[in-house]
Parts: sequence; C-alpha cells; structure tokens
Amino acid sequence: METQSLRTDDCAEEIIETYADMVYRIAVSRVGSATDAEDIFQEVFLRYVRYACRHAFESEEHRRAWLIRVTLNCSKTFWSSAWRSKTVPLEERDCGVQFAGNEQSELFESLQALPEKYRTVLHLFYFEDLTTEEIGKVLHLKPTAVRMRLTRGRERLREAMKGGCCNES
Amino acid sequence: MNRKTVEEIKEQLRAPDALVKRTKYLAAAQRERTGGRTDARVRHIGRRVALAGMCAALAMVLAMPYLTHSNDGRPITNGSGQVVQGSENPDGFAGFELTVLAAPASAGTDGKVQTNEARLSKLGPTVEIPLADYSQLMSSVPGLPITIELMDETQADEIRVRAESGSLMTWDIESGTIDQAGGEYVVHEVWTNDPKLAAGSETVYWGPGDAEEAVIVVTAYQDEKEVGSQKIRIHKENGKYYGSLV
Repeated sequence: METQSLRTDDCAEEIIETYADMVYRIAVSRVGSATDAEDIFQEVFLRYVRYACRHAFESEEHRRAWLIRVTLNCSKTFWSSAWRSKTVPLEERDCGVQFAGNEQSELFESLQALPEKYRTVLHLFYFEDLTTEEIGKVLHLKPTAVRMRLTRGRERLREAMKGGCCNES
Repeated sequence: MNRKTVEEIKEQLRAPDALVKRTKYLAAAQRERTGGRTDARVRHIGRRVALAGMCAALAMVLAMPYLTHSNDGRPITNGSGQVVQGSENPDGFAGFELTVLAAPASAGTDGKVQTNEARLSKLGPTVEIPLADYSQLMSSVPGLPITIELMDETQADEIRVRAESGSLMTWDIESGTIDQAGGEYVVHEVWTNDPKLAAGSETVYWGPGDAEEAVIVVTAYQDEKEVGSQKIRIHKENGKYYGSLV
C-alpha cells in the first residue's frame, strides 16, 4: 500500500476511501446488522479525524491496526450500550445483510453464530488477510492463542456447516 | 473456508457509496470544528498576551518617572542633554522582552501553576481523579471525573467502571452531549500494548444523584479474565464530594 502522509488530518477523505470496506466488514461481522454497522462506521472515522488531528501514525500498518482496534471497540460498546440492549430485543433485530448465493449466506450466518472470540479471529484472518501475529497485536493475544482460536473456530464452523470445507492457508 | 466464497462475501459486503460520501462530509465538518476549536484556543491565548501587554504598558507608564530620572530625581540625559526614554538609556539597556506563558488564571506569582486540578489520587498507572473535590453546584463538569489513562504498557483489553450508587456518564466536550451509562461503563478506548499504537485516555463522570457516598470499582480484564481491580470510595463532606482509594 502506498504510504500516505502520516500526519493524517489532511487526507481523511482518502483514508475513508481506502479503509471503508474493511471497517464496514468488521462492523457488520461484529454487530450482524448493516444499519448498525453504518453507525459504527461513521463513529470510527469521526474518531479517526479527531485522533489524527493530534497524533501521527508511525506507519500504514499502525494506522490500519488503529482502525481495526477502534472498530472492534466501537462494536463492543455498541453491544454493551444499556440503551441498545434494552430497546432492541435480539430476536427482533433485522440482519439487513443479504447475499446473492446460498453458499455465501450459509457461511456468513454460520460465522455469525460463532462465539465472538472465534468470529473475530476468523474474520480478521480470512477476510482482512491479517497474519496471526498482526491479529495478536490488535487483540492483545499471543500468536499461539490466536492460532488456537483459529483452529477451534474452524472446528466449530465446520460443525455448524455440517461437513463444509475449511481449508486454511 | 472456501477462498472463493470469502471473496464473494467480501465483494457483497462493501461499504455503501452513500455511507462513504456521508462520512466524508461529516469528517470534513468535524475537521472544521476541530480547527475552530484550535482557533478559539489561539484567540484565548492571544487575549491573555494582549492583557499582559496592557499590564506591561501600564507598568511602563507608572515606572516612567523612575526610568527617566536618576535616583536623586534629576532626569537621565545623554551627552547632549536629551532625556532618555526607557530602552534608550545610556547603560545599553535594550528594552523589555516579555514572555507570556499560557497558564490558568490561578497561576501563582512564583511562576509555578497552582492548578486546581491537583491529582487527588492515583490508581496504579491508569486511573486518576483529576479534581480535588466535586460539588453539584459546579457547572464546569457534569460529575466527578474519573480518568482512565491507557498507557502503552496497558495489558487489559477491557476496563469496566461500576458505581454502586449514583450514576456514570460520559461527556463529549465538543458537542456538550452527555450520555448516561447507568451503573456500569465499559471503557472502549483500550489500545493494544504494541508501542506502535498510541496510548489514550478516557474520562467517565460520576453523578451522585441523591447518594451521600459511593464506591466505584474499576476492573481490568484481559481475554475475559479479571486481571486487576481498584476501588474508589466517594464521600460527601460540607456539600462537596471527595474520592479516596479503598
């Protein structure tokens, strides 16, 4: 990825453009709803603007890790929000994410059904192409713990999909 | 996991264009607001400098008789008998260089800032109460602030603040918005211990309501396990609330 100005308050639009899909995917993966993911998406980038006005990022990896961490934190806060948990019963929530094919829908729904700790690691590994070391840094886990979660997550996913193929690489 | 299916899901989970456009607009507005705040701070310092300048000018006017007259009361003159004004005195005095530091109005005369935000107590390296005391009559803060400083070496991935009485809230200073969190608040600005990722801090405010005293518990979790906990006891005395470690 081309290195951009690391004092980033002057290129927020480019950063939003670059990381929009990543932030959106992580948010959808964590909250399971497109509408809620949009709220988190905006919150993440507004925080980014506030943060980038006062701080510089050391590298593009630093910036990406910051965005992933803040997206995860915002998603966690979203779920733990007392207002949210009291006003929208889980069973009434509309996912709002639809896929063209059954295979994608089945995989996505199976992923969503996994416990959060497995879902996050699987998502970062397969969808955002982070290495186990990078995931460890973002989630404050040792790489061995990340690999353990990956293995267990894949096992659970395989069970959930009843014989589906889970190749790792 | 089938790579092709993953790629198809990724393709279908793209951020909607309208969302991206809206966020860019909001980000630009946010940037302007942040810039506006900086300008306000500069104007504030500018007002202080102007005030200091006026004080210095007044001091100069008052001191003029002493600067232009020798100790015996006679005017100081140069070789041609002209009265020397201020910096043009014959001893080579080059004038005043006035340095003004932006400091709170309560700054002392010894040059040290007598801040009214003396840190009352510290909970290890991470939690502090920045106000010495809090009164419900204070309009500058919505409650007793509790700041959780997240250092680079912070190991916790989640910090929860729990109030056994009263209530917790957050306050967005820029917009003035107060969010009631109730009895428990999860600190979300927790960074990794990777030194490349910056540390941050977050302040949660405790509002007493009708409570005369309260215990606030700050608990750190790592990988869903409790790794540390601290208690702050708050009590009321003469209409003010004070915090202390338990």
